[in-house]
Amino acid sequence: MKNIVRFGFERVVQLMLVVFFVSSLTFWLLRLAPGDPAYLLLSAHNIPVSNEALTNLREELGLTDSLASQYVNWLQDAFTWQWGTSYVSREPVINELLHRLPATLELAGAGLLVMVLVTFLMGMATAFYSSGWLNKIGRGAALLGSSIPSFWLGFLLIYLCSVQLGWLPSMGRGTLAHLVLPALTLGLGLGSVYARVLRSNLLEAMDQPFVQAAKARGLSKRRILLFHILKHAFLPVVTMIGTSFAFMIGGSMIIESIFSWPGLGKYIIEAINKRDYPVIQGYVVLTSFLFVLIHIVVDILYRLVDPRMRVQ
Amino acid sequence: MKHSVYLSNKSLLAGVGFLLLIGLAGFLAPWLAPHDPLLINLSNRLAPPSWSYPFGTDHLGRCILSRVLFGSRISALFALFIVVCTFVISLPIGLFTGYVRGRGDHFFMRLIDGTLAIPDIVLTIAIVGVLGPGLIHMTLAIVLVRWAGYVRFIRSLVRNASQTDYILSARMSGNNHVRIMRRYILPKVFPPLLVYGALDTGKVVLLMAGLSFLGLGTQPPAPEWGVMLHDAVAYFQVAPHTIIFPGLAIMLFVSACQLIGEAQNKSQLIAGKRIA
Repeated sequence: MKNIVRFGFERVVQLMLVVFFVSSLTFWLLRLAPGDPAYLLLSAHNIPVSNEALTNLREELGLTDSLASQYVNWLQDAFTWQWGTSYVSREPVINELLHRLPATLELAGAGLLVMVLVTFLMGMATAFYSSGWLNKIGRGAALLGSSIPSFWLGFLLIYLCSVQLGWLPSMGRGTLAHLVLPALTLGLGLGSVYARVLRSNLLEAMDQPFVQAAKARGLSKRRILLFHILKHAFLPVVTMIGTSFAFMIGGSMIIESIFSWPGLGKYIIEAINKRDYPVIQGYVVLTSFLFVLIHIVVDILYRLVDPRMRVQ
Repeated sequence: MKHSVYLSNKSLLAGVGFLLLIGLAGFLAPWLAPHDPLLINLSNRLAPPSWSYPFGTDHLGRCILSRVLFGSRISALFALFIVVCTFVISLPIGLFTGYVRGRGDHFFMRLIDGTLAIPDIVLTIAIVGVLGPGLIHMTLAIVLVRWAGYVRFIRSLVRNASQTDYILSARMSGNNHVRIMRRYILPKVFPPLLVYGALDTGKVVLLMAGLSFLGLGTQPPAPEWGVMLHDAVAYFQVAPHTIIFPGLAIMLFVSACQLIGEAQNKSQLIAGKRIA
């Protein structure tokens, strides 16, 4: 227990460091970027750009302060979750982002579910019948899964399931049916890749002494696979699931753009096209924060699940 | 055992063969392409595949086959360029941090941990978002984001190599550090680096295509695979051939890179088993 507390403390420090690093990075990037934020802000609202208006706005945005004091201010704001207001909507950035976060989490969760299902079904099937046509299909699927562009898969699914067959909606969010295609697009590729990892873990575990002991006790092959080997081979997969969840939150912008999913990813692309700098800044800090947080949770889970980690 | 050696060679051969084929297609594009990839012909929009337009035409009546062929120049060449640039930056850092260690190593590892803590697509998009869309900015952003992973990989290779007995004996026989790095460590770490580069070229092509698809990378009317998909978004429901062929091109390229990586994994596995 003491271990876990210390571990948690270290991780919180790590989380702070990442927020610091990322917010510093975005600050300096934006200061290096071409274009005057005041000018952009005025033109975004179709206000005639006069020198007077520019000076007033620069004053208001704190752009006339020295770079060092701007930097300190920004760091304070970043850590207190005040990322300014969007140039476009004039709403606080944090509200805009949190408002769209649930949709992205929903999509990432559904994608993760697809991924886990594919990983387990295909991984176990190909390990159980480790040679033969099923395994060849698994190998081919993994190669396809790692080389197919996710947006292209999305298009093919839309064409097949929405345009040709008319089974599923291809746009927007709402019912469960809306979730099916984007979740498949997000989860299929990664699932087929991880199925190979699970398969090789399973095959490796089958050679272990505890499997022979179980066989000697007369347990059935299926029972050994389901309750003994799977438990053993599952652990490395836990980490991968966590990493993929983080990856799906970060990488959702393409999928969200294709399926008009009203989440963070679609919003950030719009923000980039409109040069809505505070939103870009806030988005990067928020996703990095989530990313590290998920990794920490996975690490803790891993420690709780794996009895070997507790002994050390 | 014999069978898997054969198999690994086969996937390596297939991977290299596909890559050569794509390279050749890009190189010979001016002679192979049946039409000008930029020639607009509005009277022949979204035509399905035919003899004179084997892959059909896009929403502006441009020949998709010609665009895919010319596209391999941009996609493959820039991906290669990005990977080479990243290597040029990260090889000295990786060699230094893996071989020398100490305080400099510590500093770079913290920096790398920080960079790798952020999903690479988020960071890439942030940099492109700040600099503005475009091929050059995208190239810059990808290099700025990917160097960290390279350094970490090179560092671990160099570390392992420099802890071997033959490096020890090389030092005892009076070689200086520069000579040891050049003569003994570099040749040892180079083959896995090549494979890493091949695998990563595939990943970079995917990333570039994704960014161009989002409108952040290469800009129309350049014939690039990601841009072609970007252009086809509004039309693929009536003319699916506008997305099928550029997507296939990307997939072929990336799976060729994957096959090379897979072959390497297998041969490592076999070598490991032989020693054990």
